[in-house]
Amino acid sequence: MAAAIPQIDSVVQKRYMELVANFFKSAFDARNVGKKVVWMAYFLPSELCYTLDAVPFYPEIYGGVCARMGIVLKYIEAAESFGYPRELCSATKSAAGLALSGEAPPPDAVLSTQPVCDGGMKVHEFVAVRYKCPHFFIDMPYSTDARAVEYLKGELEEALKFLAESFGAELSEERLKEVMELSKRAEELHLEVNELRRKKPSPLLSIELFGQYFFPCSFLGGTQAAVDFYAFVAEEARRRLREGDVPEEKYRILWSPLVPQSFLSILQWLELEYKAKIVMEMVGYAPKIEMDAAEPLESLARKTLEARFPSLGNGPGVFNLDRYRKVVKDYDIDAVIYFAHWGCRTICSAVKMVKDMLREEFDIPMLVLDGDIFDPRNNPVEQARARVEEFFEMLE
Amino acid sequence: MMLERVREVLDGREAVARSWKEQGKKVVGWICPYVPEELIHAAGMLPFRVMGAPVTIVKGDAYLYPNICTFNRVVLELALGGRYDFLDGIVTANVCDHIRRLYDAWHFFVETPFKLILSLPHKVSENAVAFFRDELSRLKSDLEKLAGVEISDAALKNSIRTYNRARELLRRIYGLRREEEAPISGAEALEVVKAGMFLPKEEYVALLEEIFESLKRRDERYEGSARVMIAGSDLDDPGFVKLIEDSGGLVVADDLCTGSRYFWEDVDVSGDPLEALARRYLSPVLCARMHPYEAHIEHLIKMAEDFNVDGIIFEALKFCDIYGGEYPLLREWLKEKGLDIPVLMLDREYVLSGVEQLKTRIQAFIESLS
Amino acid sequence: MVLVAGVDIGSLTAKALILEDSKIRAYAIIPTGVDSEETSKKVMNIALEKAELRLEDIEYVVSTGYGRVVVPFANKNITEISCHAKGAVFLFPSVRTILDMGGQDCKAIRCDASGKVLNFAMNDKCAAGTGRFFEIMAETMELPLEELGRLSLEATDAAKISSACVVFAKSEVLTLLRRGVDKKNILAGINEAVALRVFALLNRVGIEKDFAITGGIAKNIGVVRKVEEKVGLKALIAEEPQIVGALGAALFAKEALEQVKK
Repeated sequence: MAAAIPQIDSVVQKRYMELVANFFKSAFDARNVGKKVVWMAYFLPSELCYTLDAVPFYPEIYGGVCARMGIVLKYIEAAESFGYPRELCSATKSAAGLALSGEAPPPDAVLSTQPVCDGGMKVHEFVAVRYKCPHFFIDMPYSTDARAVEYLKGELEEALKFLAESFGAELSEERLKEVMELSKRAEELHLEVNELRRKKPSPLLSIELFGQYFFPCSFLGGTQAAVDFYAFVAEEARRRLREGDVPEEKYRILWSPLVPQSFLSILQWLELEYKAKIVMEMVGYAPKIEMDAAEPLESLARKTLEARFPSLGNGPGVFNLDRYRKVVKDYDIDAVIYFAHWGCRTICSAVKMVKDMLREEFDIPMLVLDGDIFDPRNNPVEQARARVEEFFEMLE
Repeated sequence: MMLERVREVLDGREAVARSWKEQGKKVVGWICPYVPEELIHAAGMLPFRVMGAPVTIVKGDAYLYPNICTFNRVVLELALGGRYDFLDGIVTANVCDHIRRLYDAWHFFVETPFKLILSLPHKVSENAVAFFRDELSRLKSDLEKLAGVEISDAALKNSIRTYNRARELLRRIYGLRREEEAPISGAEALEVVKAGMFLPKEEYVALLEEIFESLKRRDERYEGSARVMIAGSDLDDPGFVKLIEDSGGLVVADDLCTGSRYFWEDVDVSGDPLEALARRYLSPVLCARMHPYEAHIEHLIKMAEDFNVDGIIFEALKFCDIYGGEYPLLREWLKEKGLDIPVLMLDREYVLSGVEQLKTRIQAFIESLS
Repeated sequence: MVLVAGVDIGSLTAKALILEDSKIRAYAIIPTGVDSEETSKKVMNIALEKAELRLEDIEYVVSTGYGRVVVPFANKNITEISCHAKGAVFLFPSVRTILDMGGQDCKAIRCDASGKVLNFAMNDKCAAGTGRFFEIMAETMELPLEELGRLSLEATDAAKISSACVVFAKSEVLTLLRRGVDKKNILAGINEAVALRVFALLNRVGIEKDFAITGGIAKNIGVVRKVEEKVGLKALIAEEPQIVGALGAALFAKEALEQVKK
């Protein structure tokens, strides 16, 4: 059921689409302007690339754009034909398919890691083999304590050296600090936007950014573009609050964890028809973290370890649940919609522990929708709609 | 017969744990071979590998999800049903996405007195060794508390020596399978390795000495129309190996964490024992989860060449992303190196099922080798 | 004169074929009953009658198919994968890639000039493109099974069926029927989905020409055309594609007999 991008009348959405288009255009244009392209695993910090004036390309994120446009299936099928199991995550398969199709900007280097998932880890290894390009694996610890931050800091340092060496470029401490200053600024503004979304009623809709409020600070972290974008969104939110130009809000929803890019119509019904406003997406939730441009690598390690990865729900479970507790309280959530992306082992298997905790500690209902973030073949639209209707009848 | 004791253990592994507990001692379960058993052993407790059994998954699907591999769902089913109530502790590591969630479910929904998941690096570097040594040091002090003893370096080294002895004997037994006509079948070899994951190590070492001696003298010999190696994800079912051997192949080697990978490498006994353990258990040979992945594939190919195999059966549990993802890498590797070793990819469930289809594939593969 | 036989006990049909030297003397095809052993005797007897022979005249029998182990009079059993390759190369010596579309599974097979299997892939617990799949589709659309292929060629605008999984496809077909979509267009859509699925299967073994389709579905001209479109090669199809497995088995029987006689 390929659907066109659900567009609504929103300056924020318009600006966001431009930002995303320019972001990927820079990767496609990189060769022409003499820049290097680095394929990055989902959520690895873009700052590493910008420090060396290289362009990051996130195949899974690009796959998401393709899913939004209804053209992702050919990449998924290319991966399946090659021998990747049908059961593998569709986002991961889209990355493999992009590499196999040769339709993506070819990498000059690959940076991979284990989270988000093992499947992704294996596919990025394959990408490096396929393109015969240098590959560095950033080892992300499972724990998030000070020892883990220190370990990751060492990994990021190695990754930077690796990129500099691969590109024959000079690594400049000065440049790193500049990038981290911008990164810190974007992170702060991202938090400011999140703060504004806490307001009742919340001034922004999730669909305006296709549920990806984390996009600029994650993939454009370290650029002026990200800073400007969040500043723009924050300003627009403040204007709406000031002028009382806020979308109607009947329920406050936490969407968790990932927003299905092949199935955005569901967000549209929720927010526009049911006036059930998604005031936070679990994947984009970030706590305030210590960032100090004087300690650039440690800051980057913190940002990566504490802000980016855990909210995805990779575990440990105890840690994930604490995140939910905080969001549910901070955002005054009425209900949680949990999108159990079939391809994701960790997301699906967290359903029971999250649902039980929300019911026992907060008496908050959680609707579980089975589906697929990218693969339109696995999203029975009518069924999902019926489940949502039932759920809201129950909430009445 | 010499395998009598082995089969007795496999038929009643809980009985082994119970008789140990009757002596007033504790049992600690481990999931995945990244948990250094030596530490549990040195604390005077019995390390016990957590495995599945043929059960119908009911609760396992409610607490996990049907897109988790059946090994993990079966294990959780057993744990929720009380089959692992005798454990005083459970230790695992963040080996894969599935195990991580199994641990979470165990943490929230199964009452075991002590539970721990180790943060296990994905690569081998001096930083990683130091990091993992810290993790093991935490495990050591937790185990000391649980057992109420202190683990001295001397005791730990002693445990390491016992474990190394068992490893050496297993390697010798595997060595006998290099011969044209092997004195031990693949299914039997798996049984022998598996028994060691439940038995007290001293008893196991004595048993292995006996088995090795009698294998050298054994008249019964096995042969097949092709020499096969099994590689891939968690496989502890001798019945699966037998399916291959009944189809005409002789399984002479494996690259499994329930087989050769479990004992292929020793722990260094000189120097700091915790660091030695960290180094040994961070091995890329133990599982395809590690980096660089080439190290694991090299080991696999070397094994295939050493044991002169005609073909490799590469099996992955359905939904296993690590081995499902390693297969394309292995294929590219063989192509790149110009190696002409036929590989059959099979996906399977933890509890043997779909036997007819499996049999057809396996038999057709063996027909194509001979 | 050498007389050997191949018996292929498939999930839907059983086939027996008698080979006289290198010539097909007779063959029979019957539905597989609940008792595979009985079925094997029955199909063999029919073939023997046609050939005017008795079982004692047959010097060597190879059984194949999912019921290969229950054939009481077989000297040896060999998988249908090896047999289809053997049979197809015997009929068309240039064939290197075979798609066997049988009653309950599909197989992609790559082989060498002698018909020896080099690589194969089977669809997994999935009925897409199998005899069973088309039976269910025919039932759902209330059409005779043997008409499906011809009708689908008359489609004007193939409907979109996104899943080749029998359960999903059935519900999609029902939805389309309710919407009043022409059955011919639905059939074309089904064939497209099936062709995509088997194309992926073929890609897993690699496609090398020439290309042949064996098994009962090879008689469905609609599916064959769609598969040819995807593969980009014309499919070689035996006059009776259902007996290729039994033929391969008989050829193996002949080889085995020669071995024994040596």
